[in-house]
Amino acid sequence: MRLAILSLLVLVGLVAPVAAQQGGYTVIVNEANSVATLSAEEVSKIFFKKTHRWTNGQDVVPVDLPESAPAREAFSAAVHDKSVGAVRAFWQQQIFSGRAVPPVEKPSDEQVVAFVRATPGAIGYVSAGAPLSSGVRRVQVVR
Amino acid sequence: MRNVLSTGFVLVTLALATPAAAQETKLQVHGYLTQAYGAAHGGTFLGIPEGGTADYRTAALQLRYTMTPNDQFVWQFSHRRLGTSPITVGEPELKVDWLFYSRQMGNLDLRVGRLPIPAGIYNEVRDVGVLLPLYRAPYDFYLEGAFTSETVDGLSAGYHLFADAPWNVEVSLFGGRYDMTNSNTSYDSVGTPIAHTPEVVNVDNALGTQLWLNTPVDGVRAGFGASRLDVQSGDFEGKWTEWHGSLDARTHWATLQAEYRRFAIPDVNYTAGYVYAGFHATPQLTLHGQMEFSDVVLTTAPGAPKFDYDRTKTIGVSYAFRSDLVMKGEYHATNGHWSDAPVSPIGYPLGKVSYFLVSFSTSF
Repeated sequence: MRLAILSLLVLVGLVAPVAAQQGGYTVIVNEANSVATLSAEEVSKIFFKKTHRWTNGQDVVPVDLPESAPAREAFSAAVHDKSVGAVRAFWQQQIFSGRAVPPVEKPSDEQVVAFVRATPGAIGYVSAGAPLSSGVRRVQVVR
Repeated sequence: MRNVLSTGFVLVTLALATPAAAQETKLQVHGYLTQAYGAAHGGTFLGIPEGGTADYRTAALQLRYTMTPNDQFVWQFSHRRLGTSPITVGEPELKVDWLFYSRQMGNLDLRVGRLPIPAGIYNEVRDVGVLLPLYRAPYDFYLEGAFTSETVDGLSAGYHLFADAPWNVEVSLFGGRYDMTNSNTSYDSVGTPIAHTPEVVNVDNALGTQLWLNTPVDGVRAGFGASRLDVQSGDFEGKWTEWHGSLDARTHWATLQAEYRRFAIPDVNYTAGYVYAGFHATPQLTLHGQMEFSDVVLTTAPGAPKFDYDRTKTIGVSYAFRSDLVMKGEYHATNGHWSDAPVSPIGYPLGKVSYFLVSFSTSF
């Protein structure tokens, strides 16, 4: 019995962080965007600015939360498979080799939602459970 | 006056040094600073004297004006001090590194102006301390302020082939002209080498390419590049060709890098390479080891003799408080002809100089 409880606790301990990370953010796009599902790899390429256009030809405009936001940490781990620091290092490489700059940052979930609502090609993410107003749509991210 | 300007520049840089955060404004400002203290034993190497120097730093400010998401102007100006090195004598306190217009068209990136040359792993970021494992990119391969250039006045085009495929290729082409500093040896009246003398020469008709093959393994890539150029004056006047190959593997716990290059210049073939290994003991703490070599063949001398030009071994440790705030300590043992003192051109005894550097790097 003890062994079973111990095993359960270990299992919960192993699974819980993953579940928390996966549940820690919601990806959203402008409601005019018809995309309903994206793979994590596709989202990662968008936020690393390796994908420049949607299939309809519209420019992709990613928007980030601040580095201190828990949702960004969860998003980086789940989508990029990297820490926030590793993502920052990627952008330093891009900036100081004269290539690209990171996505626009907005300080809060509300401002990310407002930005995505006002920008037809925008894609962002907010904390899981953050209220989504009209003008934006949730996108399912699959592995 | 020089120190006042240097100090002012450093203070302005530090004052602006807040963690990088992308802004929605059309004008973005970025920058970096590395300040070091170094001391040598057995001579002077890359401006580091036996008595030590803190006059050793690199810094830059980058201004980027975004007209549209696909059109940008980039202006970067920089400051460099290399202790007592003759290379930086006469260098301005601030110089324009880059000034170019960039247009992105899907996977195609076009640039015109003074722009960084893509060459190997580090040429475009060779002064950015937070991105380098050690204070500088491996010297035998990249050199510094002599025989190479970080920038070209001209055009470049970059294209990402098969961008959505697991195996994909990034191709860059560049062409134009630049000034290059070469280093010559001065002799006294009885033929004893006494100093290195920098000489700025005009380089025309520079053409080059860099290819990166990205593999399905995240962080693992292989590169190849080549260039040709016409040096218009000086002891090394004539047509130069160069090619290089690179392997770059970065994982959570280790980084392995190796590069090899070969220059064919009038009367001389220069080959150089290095192997670098970094062990990331923790996300912050990295242990470094590196071995470099360079050889020279005098192609027009009888028998085309080959000389071991340099052998350098390096160990180091770095601690990243954040990815934009890094401290490093490193020790280099050199055995070759690169030392500032003793001046030891080919045919003279190798200079055995060791030195250490402690540095602090930040960026924003």
